[in-house]
Amino acid sequence: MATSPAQTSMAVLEMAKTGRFADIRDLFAPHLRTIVSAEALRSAWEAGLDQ
Amino acid sequence: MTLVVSIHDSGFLTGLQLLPASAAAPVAPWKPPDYADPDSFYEQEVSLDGGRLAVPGTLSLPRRPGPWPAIVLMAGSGPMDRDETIGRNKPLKDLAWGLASRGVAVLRFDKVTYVHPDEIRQLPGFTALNEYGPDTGAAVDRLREHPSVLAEWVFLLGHSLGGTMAPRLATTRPSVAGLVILAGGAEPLHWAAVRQDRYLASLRPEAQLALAATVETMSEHGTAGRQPRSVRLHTVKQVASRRARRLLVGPAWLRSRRQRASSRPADPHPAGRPRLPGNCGR
Repeated sequence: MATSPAQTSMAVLEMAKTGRFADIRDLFAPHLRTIVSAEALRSAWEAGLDQ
Repeated sequence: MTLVVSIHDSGFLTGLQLLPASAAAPVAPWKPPDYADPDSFYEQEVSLDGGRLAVPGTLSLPRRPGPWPAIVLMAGSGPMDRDETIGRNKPLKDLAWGLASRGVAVLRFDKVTYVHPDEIRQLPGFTALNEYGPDTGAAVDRLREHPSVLAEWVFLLGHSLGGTMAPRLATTRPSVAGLVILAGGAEPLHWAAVRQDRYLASLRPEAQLALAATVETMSEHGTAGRQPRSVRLHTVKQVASRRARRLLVGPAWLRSRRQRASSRPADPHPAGRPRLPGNCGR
């Protein structure tokens, strides 16, 4: 990955705002990807917005 | 709302966390606690070699004449530095400075998982005992060898997982005079998992139904006093999965969970040696 941490962070934020949670999951390290589902990310994001 | 993104040097995400907007505010720097007197002690940088990967540490020595009692501080789970830095908090530095101000020599050290994460990741079967044992033992030996330390008055203090491990480490160093366990695990892992999951479920009523079956299964095994391998693994997987759904994911946390699963419950009075004086509290 050639992007900086700041660029990656902004990309994650943009993906979350546009509902692209599968794309966020794919950015996780391989050993974590198996336990992070797109639906789980969506659920947590929406729960966070509701608070 | 604040989105905290943890990114490894490789560029991959290792954690996401949603926090209140206030979390983005600048963090005030650490300040010495009121009970510490920085003029009453001094500190030296040390290197501990437990026979594997050396780690750096800090030796805090009273300025008053010795001999002094001494204590080794063990941080909690995860790749903690010697101060157990979490945000602006440095609880082990607080303790070290406070104890040194009162005439106690203190040795605290960076955990091997903090200093050598890449090397540790390559070690198969690495457990919490491997994580704490060699360096804690080396720290005890270093204090006992100091000319101004009372060799028979060297104690161990562990916080959280460090406290859970302290009794087991004392079995490898019979010279340890006593233990101080701060919020260490004082019950079997599967009992703690049931208690924690019931608490988490109580926070989210909408999730209680989904969790009920798992919690009850775990509870049945727990109350029966059994600790089958299937339940231990199931617990780790389930808890990790739920944490992930809450956007709280990190290799350090997961690693510590696996290590805890591989550990026997804490025994504050290790077999084969006299009962140790100790304090345990949350």
